[in-house]
Amino acid sequence: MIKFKPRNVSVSRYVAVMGLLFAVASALNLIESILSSALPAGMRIGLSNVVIMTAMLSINLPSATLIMLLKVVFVFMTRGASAGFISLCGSMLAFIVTALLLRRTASTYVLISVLGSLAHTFGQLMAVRAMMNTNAIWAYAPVLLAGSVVAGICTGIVLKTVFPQIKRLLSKQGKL
Amino acid sequence: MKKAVTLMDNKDRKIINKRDAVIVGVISALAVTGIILPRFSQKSGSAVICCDNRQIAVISLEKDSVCSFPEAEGMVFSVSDGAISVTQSNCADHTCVRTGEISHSGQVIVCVPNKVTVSIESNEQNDLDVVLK
Repeated sequence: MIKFKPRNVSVSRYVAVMGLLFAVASALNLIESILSSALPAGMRIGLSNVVIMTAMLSINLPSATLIMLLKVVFVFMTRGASAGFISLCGSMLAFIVTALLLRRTASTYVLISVLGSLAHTFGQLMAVRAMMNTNAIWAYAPVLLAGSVVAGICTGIVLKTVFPQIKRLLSKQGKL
Repeated sequence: MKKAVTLMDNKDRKIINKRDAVIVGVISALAVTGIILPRFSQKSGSAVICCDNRQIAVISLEKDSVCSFPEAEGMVFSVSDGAISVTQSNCADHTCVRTGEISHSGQVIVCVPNKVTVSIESNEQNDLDVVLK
């Protein structure tokens, strides 16, 4: 049985914080749609990764997985099946990479989010490659790479500032 | 009070250090090279249009033209000044139209919903790019 809620956090606090994180993830997803309009359908530079990483750091892995899957469902509903599939591949790869780096290494926040963002990009590229069955798609790799590095640096800095606050919200002293 | 359950203690984790800045720098240098290099490659004489990974047409870029194909229904390709662009498409996201004109070998226009790619053919005979027939 997977435990989503940490034992020392009340149900109402947990629901409120999870709702907050999911709302931010969805909003960032929409902002990304505007930013990455020059990329092939459904591909994103991975801004909403910051929310999933925040969840990983301030709550726990199962909760972060839940937010990631909810985000994919959100994409699925708003932008259709193919975008949902691309998003799923990107998010899962990014999730695995960031979780491993956070747990196993002493890498800094910026490096973790840059590599997470890169994983997000290559997961998406592989999904598009599988859907279109053409290698021409790799021509987009450099642009995506550059976008990922910029997004990664931004999310790394945001992460370091935001996650202690979310953690504080979950603890009993924190005011909601 | 009990400590909140987290993956690990992140107190010692820094925003960035020298080693990681170098890694990020190398990655961005790679990306910038990848973006700039195709712009120095030579202009090419023809564009290949593929649908579902099958070549459907080779268009000369030497003279201006507007064309469309039954395989890529709803898409209009136009050639002007040695560059090709997709000017109309029936797909939902119109990424292919927004990509604009391409003229150098190695550049591509991709339309995911229609499974159409437009790529510039390389002039050299024994180039790495293989044309599958």
